[in-house]
This record gives sequence, structure tokens and C-alpha cells, in this order.
Amino acid sequence: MSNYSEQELIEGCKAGDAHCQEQLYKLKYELFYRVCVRYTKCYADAEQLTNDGFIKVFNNIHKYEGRGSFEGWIRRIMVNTCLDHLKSKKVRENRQTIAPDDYTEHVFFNIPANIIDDIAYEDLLKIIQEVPPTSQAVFNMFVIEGYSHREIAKEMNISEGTSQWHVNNARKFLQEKIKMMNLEVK
Amino acid sequence: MEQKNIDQLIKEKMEKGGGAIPSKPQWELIASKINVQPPATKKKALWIPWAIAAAVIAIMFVGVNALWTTKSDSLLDQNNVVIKEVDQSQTDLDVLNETDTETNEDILPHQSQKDPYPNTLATTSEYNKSKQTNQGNKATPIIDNKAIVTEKTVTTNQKSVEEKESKTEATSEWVDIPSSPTKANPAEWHFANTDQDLNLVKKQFSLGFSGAVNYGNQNSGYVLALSARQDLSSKVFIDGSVSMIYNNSSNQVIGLPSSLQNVTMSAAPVKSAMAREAVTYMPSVNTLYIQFNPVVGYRVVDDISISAGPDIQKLMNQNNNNNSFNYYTFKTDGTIAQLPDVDLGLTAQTEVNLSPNLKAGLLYRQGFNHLIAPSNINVINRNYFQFQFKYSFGVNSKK
Repeated sequence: MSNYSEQELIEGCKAGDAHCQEQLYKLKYELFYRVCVRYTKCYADAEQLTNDGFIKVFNNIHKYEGRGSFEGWIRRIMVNTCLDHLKSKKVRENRQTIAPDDYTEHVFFNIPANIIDDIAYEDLLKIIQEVPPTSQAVFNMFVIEGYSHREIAKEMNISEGTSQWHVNNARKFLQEKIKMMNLEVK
Repeated sequence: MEQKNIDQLIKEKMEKGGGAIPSKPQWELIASKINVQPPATKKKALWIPWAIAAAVIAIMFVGVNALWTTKSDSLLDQNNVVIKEVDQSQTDLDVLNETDTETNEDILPHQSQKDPYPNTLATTSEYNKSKQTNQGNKATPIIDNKAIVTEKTVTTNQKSVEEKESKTEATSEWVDIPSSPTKANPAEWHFANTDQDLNLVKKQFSLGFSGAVNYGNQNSGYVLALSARQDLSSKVFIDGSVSMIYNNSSNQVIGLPSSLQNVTMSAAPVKSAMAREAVTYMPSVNTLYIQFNPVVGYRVVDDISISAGPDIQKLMNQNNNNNSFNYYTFKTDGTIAQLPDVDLGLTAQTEVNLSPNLKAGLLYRQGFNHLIAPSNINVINRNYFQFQFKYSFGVNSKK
């Protein structure tokens, strides 16, 4: 494990020190791999996006001015890298979900909370990876990363209503899958 | 159960993570793709467009200045020519006086009646040619060789003429001229009475076509151009060209559907990711631009000129399947930048005359789209050197 403090690693990376870059990469890889894997459908894509994200981190680290959390700064780059991937992939596969712009309905989970506790991380991750791509990304941004619908709308170039629709769409999908999984377990 | 709590539980579960991840960091894969150079080097390049712009302005200033200077010089030259030609005319008169006196007397009245431009003069070269010819062949008359004197010359040098006349008898070299012009054929006489005849200002309009090769940050390319040039003075000219520029840039340029045009460029994918995606669904393209390049030029010496001017180019690549595409290229830092649909820049060029019709040129083109593009769009500047050959021909060239 690295003997450097985070600040020393940042300064070293800004100076182009390859050793510091390697240390930071190895130190943070798992954390941000877990971020990327939630936005993809397979582990290989997650691995590629994590590496791509780190290249951007190192190439732009001089722009990090020390304001706010360094991990938060990297996380945002990782999420943006995943969104870029999603946008391109969405076009490639021509699988865009048609979502209303003025959606206001709210979908509520109708499952007991302890079911979530009982589900293993890998199983929950697998279910999230099965959510339709855009809904998957919006759900991750809203529920896990803590973006507001306004921020999501801006990042994804969609309306706030569409963002809300995608969150609810993901909730419906997850609810059904979790129920099915729960029944199978029983 | 409240929805927010379920969301919170999912969030905690995902952030907490599970066992070991099925992936390991592979530093070797990304180490070579990291730009280890400090960002300071990038800032250094910012002065280049400004330096080029300043150079262009300086060249244009010099050009305009030279234009005015040349005009003034032309007037001075004309005056000087008058003075010089007075001397020349004295020599002419020497010659005339050395010829048949009767012929000489015939010439002056005719000339006086015919010449509508009493201030015009024969050129030195014409005189010299005449003299050389006469020296080589004494049988050739002076008038046939267009050695002309004018009324003004004669008037202003009447005294000199008289003096010379007194010396006529002393000269015997030019006496034998058997075919002197006759009074009956004054139409054969040529009077130098225009600037063009005097060759004081070579104002010429010419057309040309050229082929060129580009070497720049967007790979190599080929150029075909049509151009037109108008001389404003003996030193200054304006030139305009319309060109088709074909860039062999498929290794660097990809087309992205316009639905992605709002991709946040600060978070633009790195080259590897984009290349990976491009292989599967993005067309690689060779770009085709049409270019309009008006310039102001200055002849440094007879065979070498420099010129500079704005450069406007329009991307001509067509959309595929009615989908609107934007074209992107990879930058050295691994990010991508959009190729401008309308590309603005400045050119500076030097040309060397290889023959009267053939020119070789070296041109540098600097784009400055980054100075005018919206801040949220990362555009590329297409900078290149161009080696060209141009064939031109005068439309109303001096005979």
C-alpha cells in the first residue's frame, strides 16, 4: 500500500511523477471500478471505463484546485466517462427508450425493506445491470450518486420530467426483479 | 415502507460493496496513454495565433504602405523620366541632327500635329534599342525603330537642340540612313503616350490554377485551386483563390451523430475509448473542405512575393443516411475536439517565380476557431503547411 498521503500523491501526479500516478491508480482502482460497474452491462466494459476514467484523471489533474473532495472530483469524471459511453452505446444499439418529457407520476417500492438486506451485493448489482441503459444511469445518478433531477437533466440533455420517469422506470424494474428473486429464494 | 428508505438501502448496499471485484488494476495498460508533460507547455502555444495575426497585420500594413509609396514613386519616376528623357532626347536629337536635316525638319511638325499628349516621352529602353539597332545596322532609320521625341522635349530643350544643331556637322557616324521615314507615312510612327507604353506601371490581371500538398495536424491532404490576381501597382497585388482541400484524415477523424453534439467536452472520452467505439459504429472519414482565401501581396523582388490574408473554409462532407454527423478528431492529450463546419484562419505565403507562368509557393495556415467558438465547444484548429505549384496566365498582360 502507498506510503504517500493523498495530498502528496496529488502533487506528485500534477508534477507528472509516474510512481505517484501508479500509486494513486492502484489505491483508488477498486473504489471507482465499483462506480463504473453500476453503469455498465458487463465487467469488461466497467474495466475499460475505469481505465479510461483514470487516464482522464491524470491528464487533467492540474485542473483540480483542491476545492472539495478529491474522491468526489474523480467520481464525477468516472460518472461522466460512463455517461459518454452510454450515450454512444445508446445510439449504436438504437435502443433509446422513449420517455415522456412531462412525467410527474411517482412510483413507490412495494416491497419490505429487509428484502434488500437479504440480497447479496453481487445479486443486486446484477439486477441493476439489467435495468434499461438510460434508466440504469439515471437511477444510479439520482439514488446512489445523489444528483438532483435538474443536474441529471443537464448532464443527460433530457428534461427533468424525463429524468424522473427514468428513476421510476428503474424502480419498477428493480421491484419486479427483487420480488421474483425473493420468490425463487423462498 | 417509505420509498426513500428503500433508495437509501440500495445506495448503502452498493457503496458498501461485496467481495473481491473481478478485475485488477492494470497500470501498464494506461501508463503509456497518460500525458506526463506538464500542462504549461500547452499555454505556450497560445501566443502563436496572435503572433501570426500580428504578422499578417504587419504585412498588410507594409503592403498598403508600399502601395502608396509606389504610387508616389510612380509620379516621381515620371518626373524623373522627363528629366532623363530630356537628356535622352538630346541624344535623340543628336541622332536626328546627325541625319538628314530635311528629314528632321519633317518629323517635328508632324509630331507636333499628331501627338495629343504633349507631355509624353519615349522610353529609355526604346531609345537604347533603337540606338543599338542603328549602331548594328546603320541602314535602319531611327523613326522606324520608334525612337521618339516629343514636342515638350523639343520645346524644353530648344536651346540644347540649337546647340546640338551647331555640332551636327562635326558628327559623321549616323549620316548614312537611306530609308528615312517620309512625310507621307506618319501612321508608321509610334508615339509613346501611355503609362503602359512607358512601362511605368505593370498593372496586370491574371488567372491561374494550382495543385498543392498539405502537411499539418490533420494529416496530409491535397489541394486543387483556381485563382485570380490583380496587380495594384508594380509591387502590390491582391489575389483570391477558391480551392478544394481533400484531407486524408481517416486515421484521425470520426463522425459522431449530432445527437451527441452536446457531449460535455470537458468530459470527452479519451482516445482509446472513442477509438474503440468508433470502430463499431462511427464512420472514419476523409474530410473535404472548400476554401476561399483572399490575400494582399507584396513583391519583395521581381521573382519573390509574400502575401497574407484571411482564410474561410466550409466542410463539405455529406451526412450519412440523413443523419446529421459532426466530425471529431483526436487531440494529443487524448481528448477529442470537433472539426469546425465553418473553419476560419489566416494564411501567410511566399511565392517564387520559376518561369513567367509557373510559380512555386509555400503557405502556412493557422486556424483560430478556438478564439471564436463558444466556450463549451472544444474545436480543433487546422494548421498546416502547403507546398504548391501555380500556373498562371495574364488576361490583359502587357504586350
